[in-house]
Amino acid sequence: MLLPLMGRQMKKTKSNIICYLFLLPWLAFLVVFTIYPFVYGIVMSLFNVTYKARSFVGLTNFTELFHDKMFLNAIHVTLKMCVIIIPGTIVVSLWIARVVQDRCKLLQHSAKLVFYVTSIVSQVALAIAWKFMFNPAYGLCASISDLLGLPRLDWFGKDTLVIPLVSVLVMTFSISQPIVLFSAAMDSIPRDYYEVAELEGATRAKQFFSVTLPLIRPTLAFVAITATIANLQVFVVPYLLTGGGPNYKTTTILYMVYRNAFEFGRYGYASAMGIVLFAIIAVLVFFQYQVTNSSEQY
Amino acid sequence: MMRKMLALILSLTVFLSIGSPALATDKELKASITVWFTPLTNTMEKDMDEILLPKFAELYPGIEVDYQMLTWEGVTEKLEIAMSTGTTPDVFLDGTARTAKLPSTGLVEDVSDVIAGFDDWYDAVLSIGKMEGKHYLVPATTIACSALSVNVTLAKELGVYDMLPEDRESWTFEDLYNFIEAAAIAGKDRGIYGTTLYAGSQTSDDIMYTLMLCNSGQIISEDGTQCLANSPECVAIVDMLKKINDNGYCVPGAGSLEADTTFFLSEKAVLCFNSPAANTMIQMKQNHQDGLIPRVAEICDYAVPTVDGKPGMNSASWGANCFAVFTNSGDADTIAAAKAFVKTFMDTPEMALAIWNYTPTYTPVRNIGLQYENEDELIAREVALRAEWSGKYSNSSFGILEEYWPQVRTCFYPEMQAVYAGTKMPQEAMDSFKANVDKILSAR
Repeated sequence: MLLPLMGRQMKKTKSNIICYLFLLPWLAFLVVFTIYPFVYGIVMSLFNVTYKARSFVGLTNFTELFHDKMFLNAIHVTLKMCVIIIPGTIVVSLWIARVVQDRCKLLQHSAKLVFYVTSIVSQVALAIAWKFMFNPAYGLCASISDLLGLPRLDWFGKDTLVIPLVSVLVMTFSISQPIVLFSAAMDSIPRDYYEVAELEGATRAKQFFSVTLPLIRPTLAFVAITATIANLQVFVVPYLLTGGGPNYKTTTILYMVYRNAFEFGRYGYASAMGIVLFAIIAVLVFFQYQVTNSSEQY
Repeated sequence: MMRKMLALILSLTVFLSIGSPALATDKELKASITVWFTPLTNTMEKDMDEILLPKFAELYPGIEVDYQMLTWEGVTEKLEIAMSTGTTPDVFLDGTARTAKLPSTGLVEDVSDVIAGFDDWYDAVLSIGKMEGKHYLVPATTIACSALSVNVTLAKELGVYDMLPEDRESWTFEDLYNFIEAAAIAGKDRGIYGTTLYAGSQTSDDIMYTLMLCNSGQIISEDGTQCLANSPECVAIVDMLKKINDNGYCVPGAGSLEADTTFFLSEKAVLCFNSPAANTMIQMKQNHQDGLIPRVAEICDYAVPTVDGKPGMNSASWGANCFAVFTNSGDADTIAAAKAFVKTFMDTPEMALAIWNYTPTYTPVRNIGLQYENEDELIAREVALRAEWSGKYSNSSFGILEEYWPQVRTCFYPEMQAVYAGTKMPQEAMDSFKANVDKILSAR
């Protein structure tokens, strides 16, 4: 009686070991490239790091940070962008996924492919193309303005224009993955639900809000959380398009981290900024999770 | 007889080896060095391959050179990361925008011995990279002072040429503004602007400091403790630039465009704040050959105006492109090899000449009778004039070569962006610039 049990136990342990062995490369990667740098970053934030030496300064970098007007401005700018990008990404990608859902398979696949392309094209290449398009001196938009007899706009030089414009440009590639996810989630909803709703006289809008949305809520939560994590770290587009300008209006938190580390050599201070950014992301994601993770299940 | 011959050969060998110890050491020096340099010319790699490296290999056969040409876009970050991670090259050649801070980092070698190896330096360059009586940088080529460039052909066509000073130096800021205004009005129907203006990045900001200095302003106090750029003299300059922008006399987009000579090269702007005449004409010739533009206009350098309208501008200059030798592991042979590389470069006038001929604003640092070569008389004339002005008017003493300057300049252009965007008045912008710079200076 005991022997077969022990044999099964040993077989299970052996199987577990093999599983862990397969996981080992990934775990090693995680430790070396994620956990170690994260812990090292926390340690470095407590030091004043120069090229030749480092001295322990405790929480000085953090206290300085909260008196640094530039950093507070960067938090403000990042949040402002996120307020546009995150809801914008969810609404636009949901809308596109919904519109595509009713079309024939060929059109569905083609549309998904077209929208997904922006996520595989380098952000750098996109930014260069946009830079040309919005160049107030010789860009495409300037030429169109001339044709229409409108004044040329300094798109990236005006305070009022720059944040909405940069946010919309970021959205052009941030919507691609959610479109695919939402489409997949919508496809998995049984057709019967819609048929019943239709028999009950529900309009298409009513069907969307009462059937589709509740049933894709886990995907919605996933997209909201990943979009928050990604967009609080927005960097490439402002860095390449506006250089953080005009007058720091697009200087995001990650841009500040980059500048302090790689332009000013203030690694301790930049690490402290990174830790604060992590804390902001963690808090926001925690609240998002609490809101979206309702006990109601469908 | 055989014994005598053998004795003679042995004696001669011993004598020769005593007579030339340096040569023997040089030939025996074995090391492998890494060299990083910025593209001072577009032909820099080719010049290294064809001029410098064969000579170096002949002089030092035991030294292996691994060189890498960096890009202007990535050099700041690459150097910064290398310095913080201990992966710096053995030899680094770049402008003082980045090399100026190296002496105070404690990562570079004292190169006084390389400097002492030559006695024909132009005096002005020897103060660069000097700290506590020791030299930590070896100037390779000087960087010309800043000035203004005017498309004279276009100015004549628009009927505003007479508004320019005949001697190219004697004018006031009012004259400059009036010229830009007149050119913009006259060129409006042809889509020609009075000037170019840029605040999209820190590139070419030296001309802005020159304008302030020429209006009797000061950027940093002499003791280096505070910024003085919010003085009425400096604010007046920002006010003038704001007026040019607000009235539409400059190429649109002053607040977001980076230093870009496209409009000047295609004759859509009469004046340019950041493109030396000779460089512009060389580029125009190339564009003309490529069929991109219909003609090569005559471009002339004009001095930045002064308060009294008399010659004597006070022009910001980046000093020189310099070599630095990194200590790295401290290996004596590697350091000796790195210094030998720098010495060989300095001892190869063809390299300085190749750089000068390609980029006329990078002139030689030593008085060794080099002559700028260009069959085009106009270009040669402008090079000579810029070189003369650099000798007479260059000013690198207002903080531009200090280790804090890279950080200071990152605070300037955002304020100009705010001025051009209309969100800050000139006084407010310069007060904010001062506050930010004072913070940097006090943190040193």
